[in-house]
Amino acid sequence: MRNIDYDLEGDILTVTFAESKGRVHTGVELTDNIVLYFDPTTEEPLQLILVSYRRLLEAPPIRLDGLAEVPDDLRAAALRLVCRAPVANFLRLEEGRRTVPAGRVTEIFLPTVLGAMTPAATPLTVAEQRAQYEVPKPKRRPKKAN
Amino acid sequence: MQTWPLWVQDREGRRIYLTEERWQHALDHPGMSETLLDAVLVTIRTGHRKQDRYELDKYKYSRAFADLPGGYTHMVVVVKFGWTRKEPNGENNFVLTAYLVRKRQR
Repeated sequence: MRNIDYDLEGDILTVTFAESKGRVHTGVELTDNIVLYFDPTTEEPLQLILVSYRRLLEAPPIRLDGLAEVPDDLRAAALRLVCRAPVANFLRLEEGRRTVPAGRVTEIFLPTVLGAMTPAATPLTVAEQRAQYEVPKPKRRPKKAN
Repeated sequence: MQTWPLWVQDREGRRIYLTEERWQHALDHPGMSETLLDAVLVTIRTGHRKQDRYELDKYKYSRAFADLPGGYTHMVVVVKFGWTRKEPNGENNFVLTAYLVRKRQR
């Protein structure tokens, strides 16, 4: 694993397994929200993009309906990659016979960790809100003794 | 030399901007390079628009190109739509990221 990047504003999780520069690579949409890049010659995964990651975590099994749009020679390779680590650590295929394979996105961050990163998820107390907008009162100078 | 942010309108006249920070985010994806900036803008201008299934304020623009590098066939641009008091018309629509994919040729 090379890098995991979570973009809070876009709710986009990007997992980079290996450097893609200087090697053959291709990328396919497993669904509208999940993109997998890999080296088609070695079938080594390069990058996984999960758009709307937090919603994907809560979603029912996600049908990998994007595979229907993938060229035949790449579809089988993409499915093999999804079935094994390291991609399977992030997207677990549901067992059972289905016309279209489906999987669940695996939680790699605790929701509490993500929640703490979202301002809306950690509402300020009334006292804290007041403190943000309150202009500090000037300190009174002690009266000079006559 | 680009002057950021870049503004572009989609087919229905929605104004969308791309910041340099978001362009850098797109460049982290395999196959993306500075030379594809025009393809990103063309995708917003003329591409097919589809709403995100999970976050309704997000839309995906996609468009086929014949001359993308590495055998890629489509550019995909993810845009977030919102509102702000800063802009005269109140719209705050911006690119979140962009990436290349390969699809079956029809």
